[in-house]
Amino acid sequence: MMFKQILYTQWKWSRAVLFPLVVAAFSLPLISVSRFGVSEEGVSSLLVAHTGMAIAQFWSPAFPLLALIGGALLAAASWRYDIQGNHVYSLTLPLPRSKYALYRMGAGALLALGLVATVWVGALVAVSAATIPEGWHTYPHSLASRFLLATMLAYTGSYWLSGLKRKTGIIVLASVLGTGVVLGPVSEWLFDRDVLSPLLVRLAVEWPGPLHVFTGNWMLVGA
Amino acid sequence: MSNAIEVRNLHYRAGKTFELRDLNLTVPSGSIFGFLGPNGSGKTTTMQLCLGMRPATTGRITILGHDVPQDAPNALARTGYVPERPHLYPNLTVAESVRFHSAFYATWDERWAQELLDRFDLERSTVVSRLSKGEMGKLMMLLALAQQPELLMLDEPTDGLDPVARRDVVSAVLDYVSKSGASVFISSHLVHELERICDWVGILDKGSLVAELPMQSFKDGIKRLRVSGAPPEQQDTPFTILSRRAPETMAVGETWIVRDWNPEMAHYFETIGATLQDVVDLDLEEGFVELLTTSRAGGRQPI
Repeated sequence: MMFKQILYTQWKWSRAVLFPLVVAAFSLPLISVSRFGVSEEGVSSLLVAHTGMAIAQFWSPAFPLLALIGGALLAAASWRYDIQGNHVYSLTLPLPRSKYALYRMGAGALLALGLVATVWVGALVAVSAATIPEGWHTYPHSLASRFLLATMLAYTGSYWLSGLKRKTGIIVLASVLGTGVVLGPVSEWLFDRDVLSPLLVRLAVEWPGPLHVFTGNWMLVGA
Repeated sequence: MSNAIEVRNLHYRAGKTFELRDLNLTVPSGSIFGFLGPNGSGKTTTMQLCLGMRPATTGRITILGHDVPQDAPNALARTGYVPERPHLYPNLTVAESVRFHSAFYATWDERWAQELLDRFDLERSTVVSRLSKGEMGKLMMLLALAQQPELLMLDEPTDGLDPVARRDVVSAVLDYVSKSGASVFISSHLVHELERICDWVGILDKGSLVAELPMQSFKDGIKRLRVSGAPPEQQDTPFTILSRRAPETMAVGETWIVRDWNPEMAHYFETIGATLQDVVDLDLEEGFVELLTTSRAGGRQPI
């Protein structure tokens, strides 16, 4: 009962942002393979395939971006009204704070799953509608799995950040940004060239770095 | 269990200027305890500490036998709370707010909640953010009452309400208390309102408890005396002198504010060669003001 009510409030708070996200999540796979099968007179099928591939490649960064934005917005919506009311209501409800936070997180994650499911359905519809050249492969399931991981990572990180007290959140964000700004000059001062920034970026985005899921192959179609 | 709330040696500090110092407070079970104090005296902070919303620096708080904050969820399950400022989610409707709140309380009385909605004339489809101040106060009271709490903690529940809304809210609380025997801890600066409904009173000023006693003792025991011819220093008085003021211009005799007074003590003035001219009953508001004035002037021990 408690979770159902928390989920309902979360739905009410999130639906305004969820609607455009769902539209984007469904459209993106369709757009990314939209040039496959569009044949023009005098144009070879190979060129059509390559054009389709270029379009798919162009749109591929939009998937991790959507996961990032979707996760962050849903997380922000989870705490929005509790923050606005200084958490007075939630703190006076008769359940442990950790349990309340878990319920809120679970409710947001469930809504995020809806977004993932939309990408999955959109990808399945897109690959079934497009004329994919023979011998090429489609990856709706792996794209959806990657989108799931990226969305959940963005959601969890943002949820944790937005649940912090304002002052703590600002300190955390300022520390991260501050580290990024001073790392280069410090590295140059220590080693005569900036070796630390590229190393840090590599550690974050290359396997098994925490942001690896946002990079790599986000293509729905491959040769 | 004899007390609904027990606060022992509570200390809390917020920022550089505000602190609660060695606060001891007892709210007997079944009582309606009025918690009085000027704005900024620490009433809301004390309530929030009692509900486990803030961590005390030192001291012990027990609500209905549960240690707070360690066992706060169990205490909160038996406590209805109406905060000073609206705390409900603004974009839910009245009906959604009732449904949301009810999910957290095993003791929720849905039938009574619906009755209160009608009695308070609250439109179920109205969004909370569009409720008037009076309607908001009624909704918060409804949520606190329909969970059938053993303790009601009401932080200025009628502040800013029009007389009709105030009457509705107070009568709903009194109905509930007479039916259930619940304890009530109510803060307010509307002194006359508390005088009417409370059987215990506590007075807080600048983070310290100035007085804690049954309302009747407060009303009966605190008097304003007009005295003439009294020596400057008094010792071994049968009552406690809270304050002593020189005669105002044109007035004859000093004004003494005393507590623990009874009429037989009038003889005392003959023994010191003074004359008692007049004894005036103080109502709660006058007593409250006198206590605060005396406390601030002399740093007197709590009564």
